[in-house]
Amino acid sequence: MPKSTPEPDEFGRLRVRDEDTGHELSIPAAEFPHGNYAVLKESASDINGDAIPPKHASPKSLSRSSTPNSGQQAGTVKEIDHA
Amino acid sequence: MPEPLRPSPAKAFTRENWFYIPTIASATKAPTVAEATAASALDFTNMVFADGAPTPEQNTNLVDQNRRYGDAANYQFVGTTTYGGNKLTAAFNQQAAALADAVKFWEKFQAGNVTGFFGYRANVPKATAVTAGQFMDIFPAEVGPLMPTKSGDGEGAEGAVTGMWAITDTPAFKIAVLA
Repeated sequence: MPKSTPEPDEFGRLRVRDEDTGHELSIPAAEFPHGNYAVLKESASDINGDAIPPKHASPKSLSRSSTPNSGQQAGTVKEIDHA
Repeated sequence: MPEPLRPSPAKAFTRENWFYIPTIASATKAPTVAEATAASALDFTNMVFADGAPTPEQNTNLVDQNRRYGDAANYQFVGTTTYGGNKLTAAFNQQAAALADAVKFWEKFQAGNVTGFFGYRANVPKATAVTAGQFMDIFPAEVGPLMPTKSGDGEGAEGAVTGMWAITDTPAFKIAVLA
């Protein structure tokens, strides 16, 4: 369980990576202790104060290894369509 | 004539779960097992009260066609379909320590306008783990601000929080959970 809540941005959000899924998303600061989150040094909100959309990790790469993607790897993986 | 088909009943009593899933990668809104069971997800089946569980609604307008001058009969079109959320009421203990079960729902959604997905799994006993191949209904959701209140009256009253949730995009029905 993560420790103390880090400093949120001016809109009360944090940009985090969910270590269970590898997805990067913006969450309200109060949500932080309720997930297996690692804080990222990225902005969580855009200039209008809206949450930046999630960046999804590839489920395949997650099943190959138990270690989560690094932020850089996750950034290069395109959103997957399971249609 | 053969006996008409009669599907056997799929019991739903105590065989329903409501999950909150923060984000879903698949464009078809099919959650993965990891997404549905991550620490960041929340099975709030036993947190919401029976009268305060998400009850999504669908309302489809039927509109009368524009009658032609000579028509003696008139017909309809199927119009707009509106998907609606509803009221949520969940158990809450004002005195509970941070991260306790009694404040989990509150802490999760108290910020207001928390977005994500609500997953509804039915006809599976509620304590059954989410596995790939099970089906869920997925509702893109936004939860409005919560307010502490009471649920029940008099001797049966309990601490609760209440708020509204909205369906913000096309729901996906009976979609298989991915591995």
